[in-house]
Order: sequence, then C-alpha cells, then structure tokens
Amino acid sequence: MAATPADASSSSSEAVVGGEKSNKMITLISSDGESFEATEEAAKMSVTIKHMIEDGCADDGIPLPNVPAKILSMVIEYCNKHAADADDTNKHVADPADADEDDDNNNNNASAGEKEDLKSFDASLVAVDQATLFDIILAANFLSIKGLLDLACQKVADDIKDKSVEEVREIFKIENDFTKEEEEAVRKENAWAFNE
Amino acid sequence: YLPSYARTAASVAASAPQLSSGNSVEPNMSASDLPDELWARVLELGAASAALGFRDLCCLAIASRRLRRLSLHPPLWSALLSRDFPSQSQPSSSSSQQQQPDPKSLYRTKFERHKLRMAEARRRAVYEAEGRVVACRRRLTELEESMCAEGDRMKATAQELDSLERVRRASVALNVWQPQVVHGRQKQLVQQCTVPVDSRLSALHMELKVCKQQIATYKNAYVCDLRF
Repeated sequence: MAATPADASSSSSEAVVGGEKSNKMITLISSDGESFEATEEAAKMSVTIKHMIEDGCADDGIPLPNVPAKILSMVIEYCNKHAADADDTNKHVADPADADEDDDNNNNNASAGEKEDLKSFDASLVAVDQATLFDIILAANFLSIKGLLDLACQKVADDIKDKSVEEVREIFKIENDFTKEEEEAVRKENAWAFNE
Repeated sequence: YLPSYARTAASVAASAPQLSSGNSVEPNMSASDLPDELWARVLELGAASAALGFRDLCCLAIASRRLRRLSLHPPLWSALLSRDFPSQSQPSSSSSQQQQPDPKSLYRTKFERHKLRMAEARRRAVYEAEGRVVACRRRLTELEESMCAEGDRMKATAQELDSLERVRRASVALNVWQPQVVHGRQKQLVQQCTVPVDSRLSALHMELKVCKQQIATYKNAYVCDLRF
C-alpha cells in the first residue's frame, strides 16, 4: 500500500474516534526532579493529568511532588502499555472498511494474544515488595489511574489471602495497637473462624 | 475523583518525605501509610474477587485496631454471604434491616450451622463404614472356617485315595507270580476292600479337584474382603 492512503485512513480513523490524538509528548517531573516523557495519549490515562492538560497547565512539564522517579517510571510504563492496547481496539473498531482478510484473522488472534500479553505484563508490574506496591497505590490514587489502582489493590488483597495474623502483621509492617485485654477479646470474638 | 485528589494530595504530601527518599535508605513503609479509603478499596476488591474470605477478614480484625474497624465494614460481609451462602436469600425490603443482625454475625451463624451439618454427615459416614467393616470381618471368619473344613475333607480324601491305590496295586500284583507270603497279604488286602476300586478312585480324584477349586475360590474371596 502507498503511504498516502494509509495516512488518509489513519487520520480519518482518528476523526471517527473523535479524540484529538496528537502525538504530542508530555513531560512529567518526579518528586526528585527527574523528567520523564510520555505521549499525551498515555499521560491522559491519568485523569488528574488529563484535567491539567485540558486546563492548559501542562506546557512546561507537569511536576508531581508526590511521585518518586522509580514509581513514576513504572506508572508511565503501565500507561504506555495500556494506552496502546486501547488504541489498537479503537483502530480495529474504526476501520471496518479498511480491514482485508488478513487483518480480520490477525485481529482475532492478536486480541486474544494481546490480552494474555497484557495480563502477564500487569502481573510482573505488581510483583514487587510491599513498600513499592503501596507507593504504586498511592501514586495511582493521586494520579487517578483507575486500572492501575485496582490492579495494585487487588495484588495486596491477593497477598493477604491465607496468611496468619502474625504473617499479615509482618508483611505489611502493621503495629499491633491492641492492649493485652483487647487482643484477647478480639481473638475470642473471631475464634469461630479458626477452629480446625 | 477530583475531590479525593485534593484530599489525598494533602495527606500524601504530609508523608512525602518517606515516599521521596529515592536514595539507598529503605523507606519505612507500613500499613499506616495507606489512608483508610485505599485499605477499604483493597478489602473491597479482595472480597469481590474471592481473594479474601471470612478467615482472612478475621485475621485482619485481629491484626490491629484500624484493620479491625476496616474489616468489619458490612458490605464486605454481605458480599461473602451472597457468595458462600447464596440460596438462603434475605428479604430485600429495607424495613426489615433493623431486625437483621449485622452481616458478619449472620455469616458466623450460617457458617457454624454449616459446620454442624458437615460434622453430622461425617459421623454418619464413619458409622456406616464401621458397619461395613464389621460385616466384612464376619465374612472373612466364615470363609476361614469353610476353608478349614474343606482342607480337612481334602486330607481324608487323600488318605482314602492312598489306601485304595495300595489295593489296586495289590490286585494288579496278584496276576504276577509272587512269593507266597506277599501273595497272601495282597489277597487279604483285596478281599477286605469292599468298595469297587476303580470307580471309587476316579470319584475320589474328582472330589479332590473340587476341593482344590473350592479352596481357591475361598482364597480369592478372602483376599478381596481383606483388601476392603
């Protein structure tokens, strides 16, 4: 295919989708002063950043005083990966006329494979120590990235599963603030769950 | 999300020193660094996805005051109720909510009732199994006795066979010349035998075969029952 028709169809698909998908890069600045670049599309996965862009505050780069560099790079990785996925789905939907037979077959195989790919990406992203996991949750909450927030929260829930009281306290560095009497009472109150 | 952004930014900024320690110092991250609403989200997702069950929530309740408070959140236990005890639907009218116990107590009640039922079922199963074992043992004893009796019969048959064989040999030998003494003895043997030798011999052989078969059958049944 010649370059021009492809360009025309891609711009028409953008028009069909309705968003202004510029390939503009946004600069994000971590709490420790490191700068990261992300496509506007990926950055807008954060509702917080999206609003800032729309309010015109993003031109000189967006400072994020609550997000250290290590976490910010993970967040951006997530957004890049998931923005691309959303984009692919949109493209397939928007260009039915464009699709030839090859595309159709590829669409079906690709989306199943892509889903698996995305799942394993997500799993490896949150396979981190508790401290980092909590940092991710706080960042995702601050930046309003629902997908990442749910992903990280679910991971914490998975980590709590089937642990004993002592293990939970140890893993999440939880301080036991019960008095001796209170703890005894609480244990008795919940004993029904632990017999045999 | 917008309101929480403002609120969380303030709380997060307060703990910012811990977060922004990007150097080699290990951040002293603890559960208290997540605000209540995020812990609540963790528990909510856990309960909904079946990652967290009643035991996990009870573990959390014992872990600390704050987690206890969060783990008692009624919608969590309602979710567990509808998942673990689905068929027992509760009246949906909100007017009866005051009469209903809180979801966690309700869960506990249903759980303990369920445990009782399971214990009952187990006791019944054990009782039935014990009954079967007793019956089996009785069969085994009977088989042993039968085998013994059969064995005795076999011995007697073999002995009779033996002596009859001797008679037969003697009668055959009579047709041949023998020293007078031997001849005399053999004649005596043959005369004393009142039974038709040949037919009795074959009958005895047949009975021996049957005995052996019977014993084999008993042995098989014995082994089967023993295994059971």
